Amino acid sequence: MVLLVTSDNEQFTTEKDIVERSVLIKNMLEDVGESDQPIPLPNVSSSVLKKVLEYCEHHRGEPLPTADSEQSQDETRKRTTDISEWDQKFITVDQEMLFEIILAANYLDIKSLLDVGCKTVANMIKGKTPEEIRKLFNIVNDFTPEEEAQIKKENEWAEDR
Amino acid sequence: MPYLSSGRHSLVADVLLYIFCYCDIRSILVLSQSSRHFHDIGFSKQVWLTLLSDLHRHNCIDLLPGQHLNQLLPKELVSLARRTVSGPPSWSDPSGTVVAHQVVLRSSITNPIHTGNRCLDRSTKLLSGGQFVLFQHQGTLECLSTDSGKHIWQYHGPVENVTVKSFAAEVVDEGQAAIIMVGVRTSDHHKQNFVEILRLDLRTGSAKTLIQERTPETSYDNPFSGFKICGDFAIADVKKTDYILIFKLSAGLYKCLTEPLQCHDIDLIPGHLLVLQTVTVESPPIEHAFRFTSLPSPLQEDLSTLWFFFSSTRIDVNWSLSHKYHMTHDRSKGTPLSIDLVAMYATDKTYPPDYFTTDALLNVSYSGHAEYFSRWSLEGRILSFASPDEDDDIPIDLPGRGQSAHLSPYSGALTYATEDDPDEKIFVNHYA
Repeated sequence: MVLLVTSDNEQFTTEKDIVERSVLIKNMLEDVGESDQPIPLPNVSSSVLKKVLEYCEHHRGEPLPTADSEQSQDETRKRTTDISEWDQKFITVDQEMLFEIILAANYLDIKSLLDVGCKTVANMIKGKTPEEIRKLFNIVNDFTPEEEAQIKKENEWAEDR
Repeated sequence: MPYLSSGRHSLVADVLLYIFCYCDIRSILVLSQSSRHFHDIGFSKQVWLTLLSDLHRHNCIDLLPGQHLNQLLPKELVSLARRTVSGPPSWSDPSGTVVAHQVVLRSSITNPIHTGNRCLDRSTKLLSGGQFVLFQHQGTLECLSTDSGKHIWQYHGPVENVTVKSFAAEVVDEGQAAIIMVGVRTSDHHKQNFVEILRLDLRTGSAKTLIQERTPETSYDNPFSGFKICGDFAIADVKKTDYILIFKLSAGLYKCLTEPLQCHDIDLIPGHLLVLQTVTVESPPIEHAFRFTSLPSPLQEDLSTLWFFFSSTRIDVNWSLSHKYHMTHDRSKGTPLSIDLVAMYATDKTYPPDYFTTDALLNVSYSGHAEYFSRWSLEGRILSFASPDEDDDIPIDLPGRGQSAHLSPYSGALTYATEDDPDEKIFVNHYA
C-alpha cells in the first residue's frame, strides 16, 4: 500500500501497481524503498488526485511506456486525436478540472493521461477564433493592431478559399 | 483562474507545446494569432516538425532525394506546409515556373515486348514521399528509387502475355510499402482483362498479391479508368460499360457494381465512393467535358477538397466553370458527409481551348493546378482552376516529353518519361 498526501492535506491510500503509472511516484518509491512514509504531492489537490487515481485504476495492468519508446515516439508521434470511449467519458469534465488534470498528469508524469488531456484541448481549439482562444486560455491580446493585421495576412494561405 | 497561462510557468510552457503538437495547421495559426507567447510556441520548430512529419505520413509531402524534415529550419517547414496547400510559389508568378531540383532516372527495361502506339501506354507516377517512381512502359510496370536511381521491382502479370493498361498506387506503413493496383489485358486473341492489387515492400522490392480478379470483358482496348486506392478500398471504372469495380483489400473482396446512368467520373474518399453524374444545366443540352478530383486536406483532419470542372465542348457555345467544395467526413463521430461550396470561378471561354478529352486533365492538385498538353503549340501548360483563363496559363518546359506527365497532388512535382529515346529517361521536376 502507498499513502499519498495532497496539497489540501487529504490522505489517499492506494496500491503500488495502480499508482506506479505515475513515473514521478514510481521513481520516488524506488528511491525510498520499503517504507510507510506518506508521499507528499504539494502540486495536486484532492479533487484532482481522485480523478487521476480513477484513471490509473481503470488502466491498471496495461503496459507502461518505457523511456526508450517515449523518446523514439516523440519524433514520429501520430497526431491522431482519437480518444478511447472510456477515456472520452472520463475526460468530459468542466474546463477548470480538465486543465487541472493536464497539469497534474504533467507533474506526476503520466504520459497517457497527458495525451488524453492535450488531445481534448486540441479538439476544443478546432474552429475557434483568436478571440475565443484568448477566452479559453485566459490570456490577453498583447499584439498591436498593426502586428495583428500583419500576422493575419501572413496566415491567409491557410484560409483555403 | 490558474489556467495554462499563469503560475508554474516553465511547466506550463511544456504543456502548451504538447497541446500545440496535437493541433492541425489551421488551429496552430489561430493559436499563434492570439498572443505573443502563443505566437512563439506556434512557430517553434517542434510544432512544425510534428505537423510536417504527420503530413508526410499522410502522403502529403514529397521530399527531394536525401532531404530530411528534421534538417529544415522552422521557416522552411512553414513554407513547405504552405506550398502543400497553395502549390509551388513560382506557379503563381507571371515570370514563369522555376525548376528547383531535377531527378533523372533511367529505366533498366530496354527490350521492347510491346509494339504499336507506345505513347498511349506510357505513364509515370511519383509515389508520395518523393522516394520512388512507377513507370509504365513496354507493356509492363517498374519501380525505381529516386535516391539510388536503381530499379527495385518489375510487375509480372497474373498470366502470360499481358499488357499493363492502367495503374494506381498508395504509399502505406510510413513509407515502407506501397499498395499497387494494376489493370492488364492479355495480348492474345482472348483479350481478357484482369485487375491485380499487390503490396510492394519498398525496402526489399518484394511484392505480395492481395487480390487478383478477372474483370468484365471489353471490346475497347484500353478498358480501365478512374483507378484509385484509399485506405482499405480501391476502385476502377470499366470504360464504355456500366461497371464500377470496388475492392476491399483486407478481406480480399471484389464487387462489380452497375453504375448509375451517365456516370462521368468516380473517386474515393475515406468512407465514401463519389460518382459524378451528368445533369442537364441548359436546354437544349450542351455537351460538357467534366473532371473532378478529391484530396484530403493538409489543413484539417476529416476534410477533403473537391475540385469540379466543366466546360462546353461545342464550338459555338463558349463557357467553363470550376467549383471548389469542402467535404467533411468525420467517421469517428459518426457524422454524415457534408459538402459545402467554398468557391466558384467562371469564364465565357471554352477552356482549355484545344481540349477535347477529359484525359487531358488526369491529375489535379490540391491547390487546383493541372497540367495539360496543348496540341496546337505542342507544349505543356499549367492551369489554375482558380483562374480558368488561357491568358493566365503558364507554359511549362518538359523537353522530350510525351503527352502525359504526372502531377503530384500536393508538391506539384511533375514526372514524365522521354519519348523516342533509346535510353528511356524519366525526369522528376520539383518546382520552386
